Amino acid sequence: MRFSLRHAMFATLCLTSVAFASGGGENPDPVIPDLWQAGFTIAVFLLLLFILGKFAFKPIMKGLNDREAFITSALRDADEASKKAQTQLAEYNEKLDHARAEATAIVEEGRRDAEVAKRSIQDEARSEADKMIDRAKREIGIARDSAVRELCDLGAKLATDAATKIVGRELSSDDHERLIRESIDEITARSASRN
Amino acid sequence: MTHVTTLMASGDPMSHVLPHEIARFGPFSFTNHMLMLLISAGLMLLIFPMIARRYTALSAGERPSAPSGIVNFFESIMNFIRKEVVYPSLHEHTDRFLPYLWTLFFFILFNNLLGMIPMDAISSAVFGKQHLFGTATAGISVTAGLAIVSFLVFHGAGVVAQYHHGVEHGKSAGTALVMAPFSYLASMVPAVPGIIGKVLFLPLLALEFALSFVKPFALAIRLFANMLAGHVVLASLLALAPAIRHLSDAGVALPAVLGCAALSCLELFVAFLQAYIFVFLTSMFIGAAVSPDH
Repeated sequence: MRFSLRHAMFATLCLTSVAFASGGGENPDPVIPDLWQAGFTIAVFLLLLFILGKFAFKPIMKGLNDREAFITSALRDADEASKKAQTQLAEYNEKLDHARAEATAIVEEGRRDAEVAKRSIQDEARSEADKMIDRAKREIGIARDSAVRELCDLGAKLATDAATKIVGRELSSDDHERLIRESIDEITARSASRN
Repeated sequence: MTHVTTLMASGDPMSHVLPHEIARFGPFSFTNHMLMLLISAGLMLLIFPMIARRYTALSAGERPSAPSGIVNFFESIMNFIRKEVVYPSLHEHTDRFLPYLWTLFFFILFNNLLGMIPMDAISSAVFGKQHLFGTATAGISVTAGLAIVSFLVFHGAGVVAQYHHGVEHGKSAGTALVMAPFSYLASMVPAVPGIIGKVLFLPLLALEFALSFVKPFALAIRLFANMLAGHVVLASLLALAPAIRHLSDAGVALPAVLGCAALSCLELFVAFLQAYIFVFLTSMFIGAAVSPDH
């Protein structure tokens, strides 16, 4: 007869049931504890507890507690540092905004000052130029007057010399004056009619 | 049906899990379960001092580097037991009972796991001698021994807690010592207000007293039955092997092998689970004994 899966399952169940019911052949009852074995277990366990408790678990416990304390403190420190950093960041942002506003104000003020300075320099330059022009005009006027005067003198002298040669005699000082005055008047009239 | 009969006649799955004498010293027999207990204890004495050396070798103020490998594996379990299992029950008393509960957990776990290694099959193949090794926690004597220690620890802790409570409340040391067992017994009874509480006090005390013996009994039976049942079912499945003689029996062989593999995975889980349950319940019992108000 072929050994089927059904047979196998049946055999497994039977084996398990019989095993529990029989108590394992040489051992009378698997659920009745043996005092010697139980005592041995207790002795081994207590000895193990004593040795490990003294030489292994105490330092491990201390190490774990220290590490936990370190991690807790590190987390707290990190949290505090984060809060402090956030506060500082807010402060710096505020300072930065303030500085930016200040910089803008300074630039604006600088621009205004530059504008004022520009205008002042322009005005000064313009006034200086006007003054220079006036001075130049005055100097030109003085130079012209002086030239005219020199020209008159020269003209009078030339006229006197010419008249002396023409008349053939020395002119008195009264003649000179009369001739000079006439020449000046004539030159003045001519220059006025020319202008 | 012939195969089944043959199988039942030849196989004895219980023989794989029950204790067998391997030596005798006068009236005392030394069983394979005792050997397994010693092997487990030896392994623990090798591993845990090695882990502890990481801390003892450090100078004051120095911190150990992050654990790795096998040390990390054990430290993770130890930390889990401490934070998730023991602390919720014992709170400020955690560190006092932790060495006991760690020892208990790893002793059970090592015995459970060692029982899964087919060392017996290897030894019988190499030395020709059967039943040298086995699963110690599948023996009621071993689990009963551990449960007796738990019984003594949680009741002892309860009595000591009542003694300290008495001293703190102005009793002399002698009076507190004498009164501690009675106070502890009284503290077991849940507080019921009014006259009903007074009427029910004695029946409840009797019930709690009986329960205090049932607790370690349940601890012992739970661990023993789980380990025993798993190994018996595995052995029963493996006992099908001699009946498979033809290629046509592959339909049986395959489910048997797959069943063994699946059951082995389940057993691996059960090995951890039972160690966890034993320690979890023990810490709960200790917690109830030292802080009955909680």
